[in-house]
Amino acid sequence: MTPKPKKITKTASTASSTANTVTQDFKEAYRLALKSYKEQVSSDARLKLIDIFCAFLVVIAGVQTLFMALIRDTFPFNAFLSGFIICVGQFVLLISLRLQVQEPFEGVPKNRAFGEFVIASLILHFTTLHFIN
Amino acid sequence: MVTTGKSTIAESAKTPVLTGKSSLVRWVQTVLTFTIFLAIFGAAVSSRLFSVIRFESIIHEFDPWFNFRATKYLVTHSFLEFLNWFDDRTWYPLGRVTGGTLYPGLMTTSGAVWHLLKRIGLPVDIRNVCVMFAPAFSGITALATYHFTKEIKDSGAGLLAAAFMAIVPGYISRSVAGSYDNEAIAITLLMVTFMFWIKAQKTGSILHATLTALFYFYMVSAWGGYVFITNLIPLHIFILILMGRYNAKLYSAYTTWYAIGTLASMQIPFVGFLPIRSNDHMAALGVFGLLQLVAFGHFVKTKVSSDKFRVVMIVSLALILVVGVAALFALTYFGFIAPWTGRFYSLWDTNYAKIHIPIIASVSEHQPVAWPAFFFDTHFLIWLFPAGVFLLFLDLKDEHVFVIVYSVLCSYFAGVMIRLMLTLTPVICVAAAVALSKIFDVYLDFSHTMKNKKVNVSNLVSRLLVSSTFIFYLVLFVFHCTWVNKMAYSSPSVVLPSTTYDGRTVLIDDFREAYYWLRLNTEEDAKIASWWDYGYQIGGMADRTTLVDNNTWNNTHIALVGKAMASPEEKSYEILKQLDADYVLVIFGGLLGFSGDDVNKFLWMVRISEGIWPDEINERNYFSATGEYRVDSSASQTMKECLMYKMSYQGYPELFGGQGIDKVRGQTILPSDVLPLDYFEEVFTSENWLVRLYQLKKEDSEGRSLKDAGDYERSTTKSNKKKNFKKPDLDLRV
Amino acid sequence: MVQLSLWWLTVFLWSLKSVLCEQFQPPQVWENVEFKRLVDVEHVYTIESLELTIKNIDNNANSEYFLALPKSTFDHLSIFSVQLKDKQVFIDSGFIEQTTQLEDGSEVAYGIIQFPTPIEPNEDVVFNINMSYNVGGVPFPEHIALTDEQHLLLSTTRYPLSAYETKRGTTEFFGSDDFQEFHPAKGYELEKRAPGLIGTWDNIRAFDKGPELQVLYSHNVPMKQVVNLQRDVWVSHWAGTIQFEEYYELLNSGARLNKGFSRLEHMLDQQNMKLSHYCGVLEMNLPEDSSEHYFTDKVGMVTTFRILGDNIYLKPRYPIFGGWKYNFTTGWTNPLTNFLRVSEGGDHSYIISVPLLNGPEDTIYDDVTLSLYLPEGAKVETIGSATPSINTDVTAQKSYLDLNNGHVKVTLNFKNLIDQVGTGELLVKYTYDHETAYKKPLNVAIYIFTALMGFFFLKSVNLNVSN
Repeated sequence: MTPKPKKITKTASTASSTANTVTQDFKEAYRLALKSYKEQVSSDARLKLIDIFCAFLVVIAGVQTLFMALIRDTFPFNAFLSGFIICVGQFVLLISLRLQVQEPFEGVPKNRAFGEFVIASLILHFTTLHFIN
Repeated sequence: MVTTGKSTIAESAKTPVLTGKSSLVRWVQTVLTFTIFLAIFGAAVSSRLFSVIRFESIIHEFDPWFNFRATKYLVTHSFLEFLNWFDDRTWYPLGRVTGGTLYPGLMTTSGAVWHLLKRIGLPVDIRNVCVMFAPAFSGITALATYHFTKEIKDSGAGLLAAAFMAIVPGYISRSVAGSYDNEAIAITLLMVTFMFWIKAQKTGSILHATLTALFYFYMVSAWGGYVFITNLIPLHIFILILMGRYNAKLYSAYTTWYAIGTLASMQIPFVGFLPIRSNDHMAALGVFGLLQLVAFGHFVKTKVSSDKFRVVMIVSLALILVVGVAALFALTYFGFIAPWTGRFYSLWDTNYAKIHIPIIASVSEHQPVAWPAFFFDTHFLIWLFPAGVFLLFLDLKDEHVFVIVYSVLCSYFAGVMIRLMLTLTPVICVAAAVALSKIFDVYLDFSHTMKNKKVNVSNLVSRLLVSSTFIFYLVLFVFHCTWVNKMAYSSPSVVLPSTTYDGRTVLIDDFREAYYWLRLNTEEDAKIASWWDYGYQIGGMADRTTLVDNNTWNNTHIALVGKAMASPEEKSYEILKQLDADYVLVIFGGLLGFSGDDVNKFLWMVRISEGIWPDEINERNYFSATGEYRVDSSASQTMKECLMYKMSYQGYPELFGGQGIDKVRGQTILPSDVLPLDYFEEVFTSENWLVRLYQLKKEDSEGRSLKDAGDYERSTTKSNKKKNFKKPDLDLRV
Repeated sequence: MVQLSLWWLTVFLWSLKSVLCEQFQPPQVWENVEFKRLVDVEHVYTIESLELTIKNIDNNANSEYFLALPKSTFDHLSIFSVQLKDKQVFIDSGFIEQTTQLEDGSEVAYGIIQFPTPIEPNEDVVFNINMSYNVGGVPFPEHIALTDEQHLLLSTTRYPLSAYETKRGTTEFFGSDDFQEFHPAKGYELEKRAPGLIGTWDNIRAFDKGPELQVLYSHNVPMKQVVNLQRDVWVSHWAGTIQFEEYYELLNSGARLNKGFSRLEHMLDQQNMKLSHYCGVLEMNLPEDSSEHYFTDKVGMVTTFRILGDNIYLKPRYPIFGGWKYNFTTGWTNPLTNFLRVSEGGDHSYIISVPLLNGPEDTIYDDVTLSLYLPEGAKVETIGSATPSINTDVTAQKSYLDLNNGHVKVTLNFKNLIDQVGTGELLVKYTYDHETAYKKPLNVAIYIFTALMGFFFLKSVNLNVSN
């Protein structure tokens, strides 16, 4: 979730620059969120790992989009799409795992959650491979 | 069958009572549940076998014939060939990219079943696999409904729902043996997908969400109605978010489903990039995005004070909404996203199709449903349904919201399009089962009464009264279902049952007679022009090339055939020659009283072709002077001159010695009404005149127009032909 | 006329592919004192009976007589049998590969007749030849109206064809009410003749056919031709039944309609209740005690059939007019005991005998494939057929619950059959012991058990994975 806060707060803050209080609120929210996030990550190495992976995925997705924008062609559209969607898919799977690592759902212990995550990722990768041709 | 169904329901009603904790009771319960499942499965399959017993193991109706043909292609060719199948035997001369324009789920499944059976030493004919496909899958549907309802309420309600699902006519209508249609497997997959979704949504388990996605993929591969799931699940999430019920489980369930499901659904050639292009799928994407924001917001919310958070949230939400909607419009405007399809519009405005796309409106299953049909198809479940929904409102857990949303949406859709009755039926069963099991929970619970030594008589009587009333309804329901299945939904529509004067049942088999004649006695590459309804049947049974068929993907082509039917012979001959047709097939029900014939469908042909050539075809011209649709002497000249009329009634009055009575329209046709046919020659007419086949005559050898040649012939033979036909006493099998 | 004990010889072209025009001249050692040729045209096929009185004009005793046959007849020969007139015995006969090319370009093939004892010089012998072949008259005119009567035109030799000189030859036709001689040269003028007889001639030279003869006769019944018959016979020891399933590809080779088929005319014509040249019903004689009859084609069941006694009457979906085809499948079940004999000696060997055909009367068959399916594990010992087959094969065919090799399939191919050879039998001797009989259900049980175990195993594995 690292990149998300920045992006949203930025757009929000520029849009609402006239209302000073609102900007203030945003700033505080941003500060607090970042703070607790840092606490969270430093307490659990696994979360850190997940987050780095997430960031990595976002970067890859960005690079692909940029590449597509540069060559101004979407020709093997399925290839681009699968490349992009696998980033998004893996990202949400990671987030789901992260949520469970943080606070396991009832009936789904952490280990099981990880197993499920692995199965889901495998399926995701398989479909992507199939789609990419 | 009747007894099986009855015992099933009665037993399932008892089950919730047995909630003892001892292992013996539990064991008995398991055995009982298992037996009940077997019974339900048996009831589901056997109640769908009426058509096989009364008729034979045959593929029904129209669309299933295509699916059957495609399946045969699949089992005789490789899977890859199947996906790349270009069919040049339909839509002549265009052809159809069949592999890319069908939902392969059904064929692939039955192909797999066939191979499996062959592997284990049961080389069953592929036709039998296809015929028995729907009944077998209905059993699985019942099982899925059980698990679904179990998640909603408890296993007692689940068993009831499963039993309802097994025999409810609304579902049987599309899943009798031989009804080898996409819906046969789609409803099963729909229920399985929903079942996994409820589980995923309840537990937040990634595995369950993945399974939901996989079954969603399977569903996408099987039926165009998958869009329903694509919108229902996001809607569920959206409403839950609005209700402030967001939690991490929802996030993990939904995002996993969406990511895998969308990617997987794009593997189906027919679907392709639709999930990111068409508006039908945008809601799911929007909710996906929204959920990311909400998840983030949720994270922030736990850290920031609520006052400040509210401000932040409102501003951000407003911004995102504006940007999102603007982007959607922009993308649609620039053509990145396809606008909604016609069928979709007709869902909202019932008159839309009638005005803009007559071809959609001409399909009977796209008509709005008649209200009695609800009762006919679901019997007493229909009034338990609102009660069930109300009970769910009282409880209103997350999963209940799903059922409520589902029922509200589907009730509306079913009211618009009779076909969608099918998607409503499962939720009716579920809601009714919830209501009924609640009633039984209360009124069949005699444990309290038994414990008290003092018997409260009025209490007992009221309990007995209520529960016996409902049990009576259940029995009635079973009888109703059996009756409906037998009477309404078990006709293959290829064979028509009929009784003779002495009361014997005879099957009118004219369709197959004519199709088989075509198959064996015409050239292999003969092209048959007929109205599109019969396209799949001709392809499946007669194995001949057709001009148009039930796929209806090319409106112009269909309109062209309609125009040929509605034009005078000379013009029709020209059109059909251009299309390279060899034969023309018309369905004429006048002798039998078969009302679904081409003369009755004729106005649709006129309307559809009028839509394209308004200056050549005008619906008004086909009505009589008084504005009625007549086929007797008072029919308009345009009507009498058109090809359809000539072909239908050619020689018909003479059969009765000059006074042909059209039993469908109850009108009398005279020999003078039926103008001679010069450009076409009758080559075959079935035993009861139901199917009539004409061949396009070759150009005249002496270079005259065929009309001149015909006129000349008539003038020379008139003197010889003057003898009158005696009124024959024909033994018609009517 | 046809009895089981009769001894038929059928000939097949492919086995006798002659080397190109090896001119063969039978030694001129005989003289036909009298040659009577009777041609029966009642059926779709032609039956000829030849009554021959021959004399040995050689100096030595001879026992081989060569019977000249036009190649077209020879190629479609179905039945060929020779009988001594006075003794009612069948005598050895066969065919030779060599042919003779005549001056007019036509080919002549030969049947060879071996007398049991050599005929001394100047001695006479009288014998009869019966033969049927799958060619007959062709429709003339080729296209007729629905209500017209069908006529056939038969082209044949005027004189009885022989490789030897004939002192007195007669050709006679019968089997129709109305014979006319047809002279194409005279501008389609028809010459009336006394019913049947064409003529008697004296001193016909060897290979002299005489002026071409074309006989036109009325034949107002359908000409049923089974282009292909696939006859499957399933033997089940467990059920004690024998199941027949026959797939016919039927063609009416009669005159075609001169315009499209008009149902109106057909319905009006039907009221006359007379025979016509279309085929409306097929009558088949089934073995005794048959049950579970069915009649289907490629688009499903055909409900229009009746069973009366041992006969089944099949009404095709549509009346089969000249040139029209109809494919169908019909089947029935019989108790096995009527067909199976347990051979003595207790070595579990059996003899099964099934009729070659059960098809409709007055029918010719171009190709027949007869398959007998014996239970899995049976061992075929001998195969015997009343009519010689072109090809005999023993293979395996997998059917329901055949998990090993499948049913033992004995296949015989025939060509040019007529309905009259149908009563001839196919005899197969095979052994099938109890062990093999019990092996199958045991196998099935084992497989089901394995499958169930596999299922439970998978289920337990599955739980482990998700944890």
